[in-house]
Amino acid sequence: MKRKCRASGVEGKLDPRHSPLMKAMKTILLLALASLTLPAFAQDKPAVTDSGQINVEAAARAFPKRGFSPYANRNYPTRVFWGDQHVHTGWSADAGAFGCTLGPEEALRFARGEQVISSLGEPAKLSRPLDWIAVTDHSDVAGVIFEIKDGNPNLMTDPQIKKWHDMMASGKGVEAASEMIVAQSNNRIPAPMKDPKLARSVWQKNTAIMEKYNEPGRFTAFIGYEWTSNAGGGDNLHRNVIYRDGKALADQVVPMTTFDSENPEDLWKWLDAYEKKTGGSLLAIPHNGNLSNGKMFALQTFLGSRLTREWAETRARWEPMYEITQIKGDGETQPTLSPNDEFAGFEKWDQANLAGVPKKPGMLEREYARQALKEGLKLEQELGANPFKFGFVSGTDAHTGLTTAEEDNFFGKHTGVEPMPTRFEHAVIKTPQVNVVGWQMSAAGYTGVWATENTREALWDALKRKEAYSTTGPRMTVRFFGGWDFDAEDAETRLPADTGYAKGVPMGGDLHQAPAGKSPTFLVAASKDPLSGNLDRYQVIKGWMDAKGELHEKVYDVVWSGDRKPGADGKLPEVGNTVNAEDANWTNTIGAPELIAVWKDPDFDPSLRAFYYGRVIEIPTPRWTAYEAKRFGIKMPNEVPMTIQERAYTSPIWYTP
Amino acid sequence: MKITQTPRASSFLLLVCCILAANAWADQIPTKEGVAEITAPQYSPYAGRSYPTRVLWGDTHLHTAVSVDAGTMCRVGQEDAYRFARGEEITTTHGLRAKLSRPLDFLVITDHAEMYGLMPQLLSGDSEILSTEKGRKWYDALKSGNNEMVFATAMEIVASLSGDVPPIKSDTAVRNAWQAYTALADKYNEPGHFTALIGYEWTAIGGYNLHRNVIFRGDATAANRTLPFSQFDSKNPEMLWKHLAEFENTTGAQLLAIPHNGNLSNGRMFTVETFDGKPLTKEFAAMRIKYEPLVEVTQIKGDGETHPLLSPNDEFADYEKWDKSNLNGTEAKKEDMLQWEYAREALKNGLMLQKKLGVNPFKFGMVGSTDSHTAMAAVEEDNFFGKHSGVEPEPHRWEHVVIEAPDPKFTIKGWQQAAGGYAAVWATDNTREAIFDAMQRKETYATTGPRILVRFFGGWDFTAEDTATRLPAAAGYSKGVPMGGDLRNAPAAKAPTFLVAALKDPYSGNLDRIQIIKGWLDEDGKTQEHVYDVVWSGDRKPGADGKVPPVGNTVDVKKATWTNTIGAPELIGTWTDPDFDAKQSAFYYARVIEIPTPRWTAYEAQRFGITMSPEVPMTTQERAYTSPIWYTP
Repeated sequence: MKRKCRASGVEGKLDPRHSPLMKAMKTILLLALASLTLPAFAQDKPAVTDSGQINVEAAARAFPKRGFSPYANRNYPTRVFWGDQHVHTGWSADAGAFGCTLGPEEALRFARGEQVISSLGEPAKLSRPLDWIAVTDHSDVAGVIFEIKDGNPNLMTDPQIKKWHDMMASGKGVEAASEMIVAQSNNRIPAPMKDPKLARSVWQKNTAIMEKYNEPGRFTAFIGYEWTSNAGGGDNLHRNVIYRDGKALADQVVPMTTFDSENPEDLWKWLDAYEKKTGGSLLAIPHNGNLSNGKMFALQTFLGSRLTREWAETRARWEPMYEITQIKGDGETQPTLSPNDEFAGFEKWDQANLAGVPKKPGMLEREYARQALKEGLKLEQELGANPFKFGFVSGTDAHTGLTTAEEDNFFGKHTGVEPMPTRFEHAVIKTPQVNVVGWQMSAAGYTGVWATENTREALWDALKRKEAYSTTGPRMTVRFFGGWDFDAEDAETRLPADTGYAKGVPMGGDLHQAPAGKSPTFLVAASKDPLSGNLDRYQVIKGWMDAKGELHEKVYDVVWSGDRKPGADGKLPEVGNTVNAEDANWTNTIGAPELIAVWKDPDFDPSLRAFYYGRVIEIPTPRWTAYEAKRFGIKMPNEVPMTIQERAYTSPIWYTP
Repeated sequence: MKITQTPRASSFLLLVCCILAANAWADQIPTKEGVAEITAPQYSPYAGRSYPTRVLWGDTHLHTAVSVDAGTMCRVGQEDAYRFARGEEITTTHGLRAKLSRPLDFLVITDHAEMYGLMPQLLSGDSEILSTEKGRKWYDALKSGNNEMVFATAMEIVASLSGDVPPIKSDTAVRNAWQAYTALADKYNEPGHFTALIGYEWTAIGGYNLHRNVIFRGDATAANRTLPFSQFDSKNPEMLWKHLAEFENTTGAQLLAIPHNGNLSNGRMFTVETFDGKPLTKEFAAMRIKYEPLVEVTQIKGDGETHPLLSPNDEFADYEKWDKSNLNGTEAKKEDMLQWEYAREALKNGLMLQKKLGVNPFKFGMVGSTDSHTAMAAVEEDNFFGKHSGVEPEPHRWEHVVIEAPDPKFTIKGWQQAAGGYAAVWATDNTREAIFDAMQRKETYATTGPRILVRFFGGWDFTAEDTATRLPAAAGYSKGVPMGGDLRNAPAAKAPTFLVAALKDPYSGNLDRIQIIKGWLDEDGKTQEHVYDVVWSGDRKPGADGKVPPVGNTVDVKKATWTNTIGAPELIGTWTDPDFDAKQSAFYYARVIEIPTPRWTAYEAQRFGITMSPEVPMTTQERAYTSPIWYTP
């Protein structure tokens, strides 16, 4: 009886109209159902199939119960794959202009753990290899600087380009780059540089490199690029386009540039056209809403029209993930948006947009992930679709070819701020009103993907279903499951995923229609990065919309190290601090190596839309500036933070009444 | 004047001398700036490190169906053994699905040399085998369908392994099986990803365990130039070394041998006599240490570090001991045999022999391995597939017989199996060559299963400041020697200092403590030992006896779980020998102890819902043993 209910419950969710997989699953379920219900009349009416009569015992052997080895027969993701979906090389015009001489090949070799020499001649190596990377050079004139430098004969016929080539060859690369930038802003770029044939050949060279380094099961080199829309004035609407596909499909269409359009809706159209033409699969990951001056999560279209259901569905379809933290600042939330969140003031770049145009009131509300998730609930109510139903990834956005997010091994935003004694005071964004300097760079971040294997397909599928999380650099292992029946006993295990997947949905998933009298329960677990700090606490952040349509958020401390007791304000005291900033060192004598708990929403109302995500906070460790000061024997001004509490953000789980 | 601090510094100095002398003819004279550039400290702490930065995990001792004894119960072959070790899921002999929690980095399949490959050949009716009288007879018996006869035949086959002559003499059959194996090893050996070192086990002498695993540095081309040396060739280890030496001399190949289970040798493994009962000679000592740089100190058939009767002051000595008899239970253990069986005692005796002979035959490092006969290197407490296929997981295996002895009190029951161990190797690369070389220089350690990261360096100048780092190896290698290394001629008024660091296995228990075990030869020529607690979790204070109190216990036996709320995720410390005498030879090794976690029997009881008898231990404190560092005056 119970069995039957469950099977039909699953069947109810299937929508066989679109997916062949769903169709296959339905057939399997029907088959299983058939064999389960058969015995009653099997004797008089045997179920004969093409392959003979179904034998109940034999069929039971094919669907065995859980075996002895706890690691066998697990089809869910059991390993986090670490990577960066946002790395620029010298092929990006701006990176090249800043003197980055490393190309995609060096970026890949570095990411997979090899030592390379940085553009400034420093040997560079990661502490540990990454499992995957997406090199996302800007599509606008991608690779052209390298083509000019290398003397591509198709370009050398143009005297202006030839002159730049000669300047580069004679050590005047910076001047050449400056001239090029001036030429571009005056729309005087020589025609051969914009020749679609050149773009195609660069793109195919790029995909060939990705293909060469992509080793299924070992290391994934995604094909990708960045579409870099600044909405005409430095308002960051950038998106990384990530391909599930290999070279054969990717080569069929040349990447979209901002010469084509600066409107994200046009990018979505381009993505759709690509998929229709090739049968491939793409997704786009926006980043740095914090530098968009209110445009990233605006409640209107790019052209200022009202949002529609179709718009919301289209955005959610193409943009399942948001890059929440990277070198140019953390984008989870901001202290004025979340005044009760004592961890909100973290690595913020919140003065201006990318071009240094200062922020005006009302902009912050449309820039940060948490607020956007909340607005998404409201939009879903209004439009019938949630355009901001995204999970979290991060990346470095490094323009050095080097994906470094380690505090003790940070090669900076671009080649102008690669390691050197004075880089902490170098200008990164400078205008009359705004001055962002080197020390404000955040040594972040990486993406942990819960995929079934290390392949383009498995990783991409995990990103698409939002089973991934963001960290500011450390590789802590984080699980986050939501369901209706988790209880404290489920936390008494070394393998939380067993019950997690059996009784609930993983990060990125959905809960619908609360069973009568039940509140959502969450199984949360984190284990520290062996090379980084212990864990301070695991929090759950809830956002919801009340009956009046007002949006709320609350941060719950769920499990923490030691025997700290929450104070009168309900907040847990600080974990302490073992950092010796002068020596750039700390001890893991406070905090916990791992945290696990089950948490039940104490304020649940089944009629209200909500989302929940996990935030894992490390104990304080030295910030990259502390390592830098120690290494170079320099003193930085007092305003420069010397410690950091690194963190992870899981993709949310949504509750929909 | 102090000559040099490190080998690297000395070679650099030599280089500089050459350059100075070479000015006259060099094409390119180095400039001051140029030299400064290549020697300047680098920004990236991970770049330019030529020392080993990653531990590679493996099993140097695994049997498959190709081993005659395993083959009587195990149907899983060498290919599945590789697949399992590199992290794939396989089906066991009993039809269970099995997978490791994490892949291993390397594996040495060491099937018994004796009638290498016989069982699979026999069962498949190999024509070479069936053309022999014995082969035909056994084949017919095994295929008779008569269970009694099949069992009797299997017993006969296994018994014949310890005979003086092989029951079936067919070099062709052995060569076929051996070359099929070496080809498979080459197929699964993937430099940089997974290493399949070629090896076999030489299995002398019967119940008095003098077994050695022979490991090749090279590939099939080298290994195919020989056949496994078996106890039918000789039961004398000296003859094995001679065989290895001859093979090396004729082929230029490199080999080493790893003895194991001295605990079941009834006083024979580390005796101070030759096989024939003569006093050891310098030549014997030199041969032994040339070919046996490592000892397997922990495995399923018991832990061999030390014994409570040998180390009465060591409260961690009584760990997973098999000490009632020899391997097949035909002879009771006498107390005076123990001193020739355990690693620590052998290391101590080695100092004595060094003094006497001028060479230390027992100057060995440590590894752990499984010795599993299931083709699965599965020794995780929550994922333990047993010593052989007769004791694969099932509700009653804890009381099943593992080794049946004529005297029932020497019979080994299932629960006595230790779910251990693995070999950890600090190699520069995951290749046969790099792993073999690390084994030869003893830069290895043993664990009882968990993948605890352990560093151990010895030198004269380590200070507390060297622990204020996340990268202990940087100071470790520049100021000292790693595990397996040597210290000589103490500088005036200096005592040896050690930098020790350990990181917990993320999947396993926190760490209780790191200890350093010192053994030395006192002024009367007597061997001594002392266990020092060096660094431990929490704020425990050593008691009046100088010992740090136990760390506590969070194990919930019924649920087979625990919490990492006691112990430390990492420990680092420096230690200076407080009792150092520069005239006395000594060795030092580190032992890292985890907090109590559920033993495999607890997982088993919980899974199968059974109650085991009270004598069965339900918790364990897993551990790691590093290779020693020796001080020689």
